[in-house]
Amino acid sequence: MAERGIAYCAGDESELERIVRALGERFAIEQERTLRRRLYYDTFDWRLWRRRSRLWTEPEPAGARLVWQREPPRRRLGLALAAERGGEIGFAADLPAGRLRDRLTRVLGVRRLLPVVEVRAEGRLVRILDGRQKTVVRVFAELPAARAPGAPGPWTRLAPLAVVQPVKGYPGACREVTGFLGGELELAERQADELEAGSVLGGLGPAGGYTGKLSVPLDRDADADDALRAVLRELLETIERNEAGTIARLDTEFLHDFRVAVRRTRSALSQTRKVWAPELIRPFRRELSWLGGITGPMRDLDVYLLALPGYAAALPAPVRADLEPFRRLLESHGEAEQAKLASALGGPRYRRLIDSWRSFLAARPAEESRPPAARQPIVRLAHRIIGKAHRRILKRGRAIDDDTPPEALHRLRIDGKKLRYLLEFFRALYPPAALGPPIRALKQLQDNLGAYNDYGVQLRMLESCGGRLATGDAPGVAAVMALGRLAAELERREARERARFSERFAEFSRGETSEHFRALLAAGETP
Amino acid sequence: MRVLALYNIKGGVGKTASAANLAYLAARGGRRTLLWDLDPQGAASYLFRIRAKVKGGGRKLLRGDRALDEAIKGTDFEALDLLPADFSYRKLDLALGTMKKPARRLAGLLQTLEPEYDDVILDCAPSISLLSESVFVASDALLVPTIPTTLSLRMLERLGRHLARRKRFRRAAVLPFFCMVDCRKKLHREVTAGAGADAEFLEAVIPYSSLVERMAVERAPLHAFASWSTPARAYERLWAEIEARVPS
Repeated sequence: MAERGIAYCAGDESELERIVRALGERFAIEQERTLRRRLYYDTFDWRLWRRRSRLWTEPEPAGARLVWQREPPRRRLGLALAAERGGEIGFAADLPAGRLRDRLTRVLGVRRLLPVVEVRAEGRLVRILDGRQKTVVRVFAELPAARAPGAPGPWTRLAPLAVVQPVKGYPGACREVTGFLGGELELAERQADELEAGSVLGGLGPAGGYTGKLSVPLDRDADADDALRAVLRELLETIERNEAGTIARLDTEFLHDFRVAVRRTRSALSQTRKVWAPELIRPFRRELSWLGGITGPMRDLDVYLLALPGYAAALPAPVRADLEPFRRLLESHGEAEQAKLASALGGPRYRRLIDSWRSFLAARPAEESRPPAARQPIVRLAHRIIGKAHRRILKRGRAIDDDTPPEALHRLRIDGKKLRYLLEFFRALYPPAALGPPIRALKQLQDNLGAYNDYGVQLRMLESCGGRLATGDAPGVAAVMALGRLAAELERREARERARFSERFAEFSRGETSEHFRALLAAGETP
Repeated sequence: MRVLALYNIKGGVGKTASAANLAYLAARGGRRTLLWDLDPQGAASYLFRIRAKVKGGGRKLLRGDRALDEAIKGTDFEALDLLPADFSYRKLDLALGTMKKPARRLAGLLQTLEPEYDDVILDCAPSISLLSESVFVASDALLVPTIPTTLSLRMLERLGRHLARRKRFRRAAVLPFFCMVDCRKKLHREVTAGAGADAEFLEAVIPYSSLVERMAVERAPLHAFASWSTPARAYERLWAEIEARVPS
């Protein structure tokens, strides 16, 4: 609540009363009852909170107001909404046009705004007046309470506060009031963040709790399988936390994070085979592969639908509208795929997998089913498999020339992901400064390979959809012709990425980058 | 940042009351609003219980010797600030005359407020002078309160011709509206009904009301003491139209 002024903490309600009374004895005041209500919003991964900004709605006589308190010292942006929307803001892009929408869209990207904490503060506004009966300082004496939005549960009291809000142009009066509260009444000034306090009390966990980023604390001398289980548990938690949002399809990032966590899990298992008894791990690998398979088509459609406006923008204006039937077709495929996906994630096979995987990760396997590799220190294993993954990329990549078929690039892309995941799993074992350069070098290469792959996938989807749109009537013909333009655009982009590959790979395979990898592994050797 | 000027060559047409009420509504609608009382009479400052005094006078403000921001006072209403009048404003024209590019001076000054405010509302003195030209250049819209009489319409026409003459005046949209309309008067009824012919008037009509006059007794905008009243509602409709007509 720092955005509202200087906050003083009162021990309880009666102390707050005493403060108001004391202000009345010392200054000319006017009082009015106030009821402040706020519904705070953020994305699932707390994008606003992380930028030290807050977004909320507050009811107004006509409808509601959306307020975005941006990172200080940037100022607030506000927007009138027709109604409070009962916690349903949706996507920033759906807001009425204006600066708030444009800036917010940039920060939120494709993530949906979800209500996170509801705050209600009863209290009084004490206006300190000058000789003209004009307000020169405002003091809000209030009793805030918070709860999780949606379920109308009980309110949890937060600390009572007296917030002094200066009025512009009357700094002297404000100094007098804060001097009185801090000096004569000996109240302690404090930073009060009701979103932070409310999210903990509301049972949401700490504000900023979820992030798609992996960060697992590891002890370098821990047994390899113990350390890996810690990593895998973290990934399982990510899978489970994104489950509901994926099923409800709140936004596309839930499925994305869900899939990344599944893929990281599979990648971890395939690169550490010697650490596990094969018969214990085989069923999990099979089932996780199934999980990866059933979530793939929906994600491909998501990527396509997200990229389509960008492709359309590259086409001449008259053609853009003709892409609409294709977009609708993708959307209807999406609906069908989503239904399948939701029923699979709600079904027994998925439940069994998650439950058994969780109990597998909970405890160390019996000693007799722990291969010798499981007992090596994690740092040694990490060193070995990171080195191996790096060498594999160099070898595969060097074999690629301008005539190599796309499959080889696809395999290289997967190798790149594997290496990237290893660097993320074992982040804690290496100094952050040593991790930066190899990750950046790898990212450059992966961006190229990823884009190349996406265009290929999308071209193939285009081919398989084209037939369905050619129904013979006039709009069908226009739609198919638009697809031809789109295909040409995708081919152009695909060729561009393919042409960039050799340069990107040369960058990755040059001596300096390899030196970074050597330095990283060397840094891991010395504790 | 939007700059809206309440302007009319004539006095006593409801400029200050309109400026105060519209500024109040802008702030209530969530826009950070500054009302600049440019009239040396200081009526708008008085309405908001703020002393009509600027340290160093208007000349220093215009010359940029003193930052506008330092002279601004918060009002009793959140998000609504006021830049007070000063008696020295009566000589602003003389001061402007000695400066380079006088007509652009105000626009340049207002630019410094861009990060602070969404709307700036100028309550102008009734005259046509170098200062008003500076207002024409700086504004996105001229809101012209007009009493529905033949003479008022004539003045409005003249203003239109004057603005059309200079290219730099043409940026501001001219949005006249009827003010202090007394529906007991036949002339008022006739003019309000048939005025569409020459100038395009905003649809909302501000009726004559003793409540508007009472603002000077209450020293507050209309909504602070009579939010339910007919003129308060009329100002709400007027503000909604302005919001729709002048993009921010």
